[in-house]
Amino acid sequence: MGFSFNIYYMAINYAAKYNPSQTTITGCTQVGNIAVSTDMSITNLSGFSGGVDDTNGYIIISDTVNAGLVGRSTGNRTGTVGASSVPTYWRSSLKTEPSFISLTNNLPARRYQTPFTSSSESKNWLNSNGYWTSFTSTSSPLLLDLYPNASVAYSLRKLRTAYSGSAIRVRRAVDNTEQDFVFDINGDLDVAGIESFFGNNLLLQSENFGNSSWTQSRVVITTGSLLGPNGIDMADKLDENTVNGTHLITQASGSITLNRDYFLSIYLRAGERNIVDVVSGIDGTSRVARVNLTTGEIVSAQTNFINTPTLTSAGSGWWKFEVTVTSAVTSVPTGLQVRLTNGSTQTYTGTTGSGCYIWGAQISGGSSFVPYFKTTTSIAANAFVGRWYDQSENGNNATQDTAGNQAQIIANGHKIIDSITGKISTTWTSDRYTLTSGISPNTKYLSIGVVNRTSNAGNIIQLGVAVAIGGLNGQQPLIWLATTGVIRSDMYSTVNHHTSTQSGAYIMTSEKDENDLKTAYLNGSALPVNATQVPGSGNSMNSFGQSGGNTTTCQYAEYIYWNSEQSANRVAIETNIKNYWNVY
Amino acid sequence: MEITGYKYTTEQEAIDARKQCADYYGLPKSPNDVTKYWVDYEYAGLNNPEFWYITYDESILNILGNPITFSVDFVE
Repeated sequence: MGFSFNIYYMAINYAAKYNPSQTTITGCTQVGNIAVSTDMSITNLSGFSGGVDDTNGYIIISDTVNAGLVGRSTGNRTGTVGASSVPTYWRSSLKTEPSFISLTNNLPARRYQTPFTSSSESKNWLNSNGYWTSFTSTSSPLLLDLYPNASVAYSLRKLRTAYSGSAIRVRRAVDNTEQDFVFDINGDLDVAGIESFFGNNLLLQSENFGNSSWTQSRVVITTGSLLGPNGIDMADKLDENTVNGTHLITQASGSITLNRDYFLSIYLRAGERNIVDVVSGIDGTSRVARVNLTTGEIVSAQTNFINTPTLTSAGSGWWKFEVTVTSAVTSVPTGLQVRLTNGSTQTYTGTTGSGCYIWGAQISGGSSFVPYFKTTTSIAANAFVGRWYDQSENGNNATQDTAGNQAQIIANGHKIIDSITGKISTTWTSDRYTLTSGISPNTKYLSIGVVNRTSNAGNIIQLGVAVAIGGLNGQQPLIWLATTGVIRSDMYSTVNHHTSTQSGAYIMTSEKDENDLKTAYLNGSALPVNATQVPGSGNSMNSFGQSGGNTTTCQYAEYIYWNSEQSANRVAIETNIKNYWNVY
Repeated sequence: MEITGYKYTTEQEAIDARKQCADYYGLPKSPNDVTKYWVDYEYAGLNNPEFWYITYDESILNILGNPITFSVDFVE
């Protein structure tokens, strides 16, 4: 049997930030002298006897008792909170039942006692000694903790505390590589991980400056002139020609998203020329930074980026130029430009063989600078959801095996954001997913999705069957039709709940209650028409976002289906969803 | 509904066309990947005679050639 006391463990998230000024660890409730939490944030693990360690483990904390663990440790870790020199917390070496038992056995109060052999013994002892009985997590229970037994639950947030699986499988468009992503310590999708994964470079041919993706003006590009700063790939040399004018290379920005931060970077090394301009127009104005590749200085008098650029040594004479720009256009001819100067001006008659070395150009979206990602014929700016992992206890994942039918989660280098809720979402364009197992609808159910009807061009569908049955699209708790805006349910017979063409963010609900009354809701408000229709038997709903020939076009953030009576819980469930997703 | 795309009289032809596109884009990239295809085909079962089709996308123009326009019957 697996260990199930999930409130007693925490995952140490290497990306979280530990604030040394804190006297307690964020998210931890201390009861007596021991407490545990599911949502603590620690990265400064230097206090652990084993040094920095970002693996999972069960945490127990004391703020008053000397740990006394040293010498008895069986692989557990100790550390301090704040500036204390006394060990004040312990972490088990693994997030396993034996490791938890070991941790408990090594607590100071358990010295010289008969070791526990089961987690229930450990838990009971902790309870009986006042450590656990009054413990409450500082985090609220998650939606499926409060309203369990969903049939399927797909979301970009964590829905069940005990769920330890992935949130989604992501396919990056640049090379179709896939990777699963989990939730962070706060229960939100690990967006930072996705931003690092998808490549994140909006420039083509990032190391091939003689390629036609770059515009060369009065320059000569010599490929493979020098070993690049990564010590593996060769760099190009950018030399001026002898024509009077500017001497530069430029690449347009491609598609960018308005009012979002973009992170520009390029590696430069002095050649015969050591004063170089880096130019970009992404914020709607031609911004220039003049850099000195001998001293590593930014020539501030000839630099007008709003944010301060930096020039950082990358070794072997290479410098990495970086600057953040907030976009004010959706595309611009000068996404990134490198322009030679003669030391004082950018317009001059060049000298044969005079120039500098360049390598690794990048424009990335997201929330911060990411590691350099090489591109060739495709930009790395988009990513799609190949699979929604089911957070219910049924493992009924929703998978789309065709790239063209997968919802998008990263566009133009940035996560998709619902423009109304301000929360992360996914963009569906005639997309749909197939369930691992079909669901035969009960006579009572609750079906809820968090959507943004961004236009009336497509349908919005919850669950459904992929093949039409009896002249209808078989069984589907709710479908919001394209163009007409009819909100309909087809549980073996059609009910038009309402006609509405409005767009916007909605919690979209279909409920069959204890009185067999079927009602549709938008943002908690019942639509005018309801009915008492009974789902047909044997026609399993096997798709998420599809019914018959219809597919979904909208933004989707969450979908949950309970194949049971939930009418007493519906308002509370909708409130939970509303509060997290900020829908209305 | 008018659809722009590629029309096939047998399912096998549609499967072959789907494979052409997947091969062009190197899918699946790894055996355990969920993404097996670049585009999928659809079944026009309400049309008489029935047929299979792939909806046009710019990304498959170089693989499947110029698309045509045809009518597909759908259930509401």
